[in-house]
Amino acid sequence: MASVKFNQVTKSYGKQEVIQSTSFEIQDKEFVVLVGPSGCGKSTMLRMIAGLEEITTGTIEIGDTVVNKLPPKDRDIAIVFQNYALYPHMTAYENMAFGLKIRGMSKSVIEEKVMKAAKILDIEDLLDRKPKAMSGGQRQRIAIGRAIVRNPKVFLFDEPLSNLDAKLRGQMRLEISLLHKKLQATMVYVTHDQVEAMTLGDRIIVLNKGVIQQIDTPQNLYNHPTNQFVAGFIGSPTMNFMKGKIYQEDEIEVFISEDQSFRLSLNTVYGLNPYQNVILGIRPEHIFSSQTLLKNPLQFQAEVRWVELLGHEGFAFFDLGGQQLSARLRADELKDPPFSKKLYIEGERLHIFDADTGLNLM
Amino acid sequence: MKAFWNKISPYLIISPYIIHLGLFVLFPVIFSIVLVLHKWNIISPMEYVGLDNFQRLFSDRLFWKALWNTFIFILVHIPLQIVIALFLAYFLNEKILARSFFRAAFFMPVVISGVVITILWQQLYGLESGVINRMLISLGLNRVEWLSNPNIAMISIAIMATWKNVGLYVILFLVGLQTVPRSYYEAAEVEGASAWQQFRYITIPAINPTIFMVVILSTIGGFSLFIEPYIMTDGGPLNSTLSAMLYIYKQAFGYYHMGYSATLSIFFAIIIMGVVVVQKIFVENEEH
Repeated sequence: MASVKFNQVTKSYGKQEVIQSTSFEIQDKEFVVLVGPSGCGKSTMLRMIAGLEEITTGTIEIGDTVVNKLPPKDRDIAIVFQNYALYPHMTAYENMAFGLKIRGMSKSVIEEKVMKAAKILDIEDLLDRKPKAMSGGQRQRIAIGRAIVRNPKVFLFDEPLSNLDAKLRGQMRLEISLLHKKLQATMVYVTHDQVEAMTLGDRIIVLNKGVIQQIDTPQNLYNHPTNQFVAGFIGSPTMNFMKGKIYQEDEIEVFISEDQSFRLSLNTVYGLNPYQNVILGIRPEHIFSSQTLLKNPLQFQAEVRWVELLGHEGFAFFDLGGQQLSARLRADELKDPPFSKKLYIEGERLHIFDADTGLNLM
Repeated sequence: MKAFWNKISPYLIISPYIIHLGLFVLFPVIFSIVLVLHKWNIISPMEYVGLDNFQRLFSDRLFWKALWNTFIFILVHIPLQIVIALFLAYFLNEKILARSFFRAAFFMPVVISGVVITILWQQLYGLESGVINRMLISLGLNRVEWLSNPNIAMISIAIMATWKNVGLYVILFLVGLQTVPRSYYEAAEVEGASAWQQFRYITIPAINPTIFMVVILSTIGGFSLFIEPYIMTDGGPLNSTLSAMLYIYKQAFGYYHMGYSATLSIFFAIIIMGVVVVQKIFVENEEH
């Protein structure tokens, strides 16, 4: 197993720079998730590790070796593709054995390795089948099996669960997580699904427009996003944002409209200048219908226009200061809209971002 | 009234095709089957001869010679065509300079009239003034009797036919190649497969259906060899380029042996069907 290190890596297609100067290190045996919206450069980054894309400047190291000039086959990596990339004319066994056969291994060694991988993934009964005779989940297992037979230093996953239905995705997520624990391998996983990122990654790299926004643990990304983009991207449903202005430094009141304001306790606010334009952020799950248990409740009256029920809980949608917000509430707290309801924001969980730079000011 | 039109309009729409099919396909086929049992020279009334035409066919050495020539043509033409078309398609599928130009250029001979191309190649193959022989002489080599040597003439025709048709098969292979997902090659590259191994283990099996289609089309095309020997050599020298189709044509419109010609046609169609079925079985076995 090995670490992966990016040193001031950039990637350009002609004049367009898709990855701006990037440096980070993925530790040995770490599970790192690259996450971001479509076109942010996350797959490009993964493909650069694999050697399927050349890098424009900088260096990439796998273990202690700079791999810039090494072809994919010499990087000792394995990749699992979104569309599985299983060869349709080969059986599952032949698909898994292909790389070993190409490398000139003997039949007995190949069989031993394939059977071992098949046992880990519980796919022994699928080995005689061709991909077309398998379900999406089974194909994905074979694709993972093909990756693990070679025992590579680094596993790369390029949105491997995107083609699966929601139930299977949840199941496979768990299996990949368990596989990581079992193999103790370095894994780099690309996804646009922040739920996958939060549940799988030891650390997450959040990307936007070819720039790394934050590298951190899932919990830190959720609790302490460095900017408005990360705050909006991590968490489902997305964080509520409201425009506002710091009114007076000593009173620390944030106005989101002429008739709505919140008072913030001094100990949670740092370096805010009076009259500074800000964006307030609060997650739907941090808006409550009762102030009991809240450390710093900020009360307001919500005119609920729409409700989405999900069984045990639901979302209430309402306008506040001309902006649409949502709150995650218990199902029994919701009724047919429209209705008026007193709600409380937990002031301790409020995020304040600079309106111009988007940086978290807290 | 509207319901009536709704009912008959589908039939009206397909009627031109049905009329064409009836006049130019079904009627000739049925008429040929009737002719098999008759002797007819277009002018005199038809005379019933039973299976005489078949007896004649099996003892007609020239027909078997023409059939053999056709097989020789196919044996040279099909492998040559597939290899060249696949080779060209493979490179035209890569990001090479002026790719669109080359794609159009290779396809050009397909849309040019077969007669024009045949006459053009007749000039190129000319013994004295032909460009190919002039080039050979300028390189210090001997002239080749492209169309007058019985051992070479059919091969010369096969080369020309390959040149003419290869563009069509390049396009078919290109379509086939473009349906192979890029990720198959990337997966193979990561696994350590060389360019040749990728071609052998990924490309060829992936485009197997296209290869089968090309083999079938070029087999049928090969069996239909007519224009080239008709214009270039008229089946000569020493009947070495006499194709089965040319022989059937000569029997019908040279000697007016319409019954015998129909018998040859039916027999020939059965052979083509047989070959295609064998090819299909072979390819399907390969696939599994």
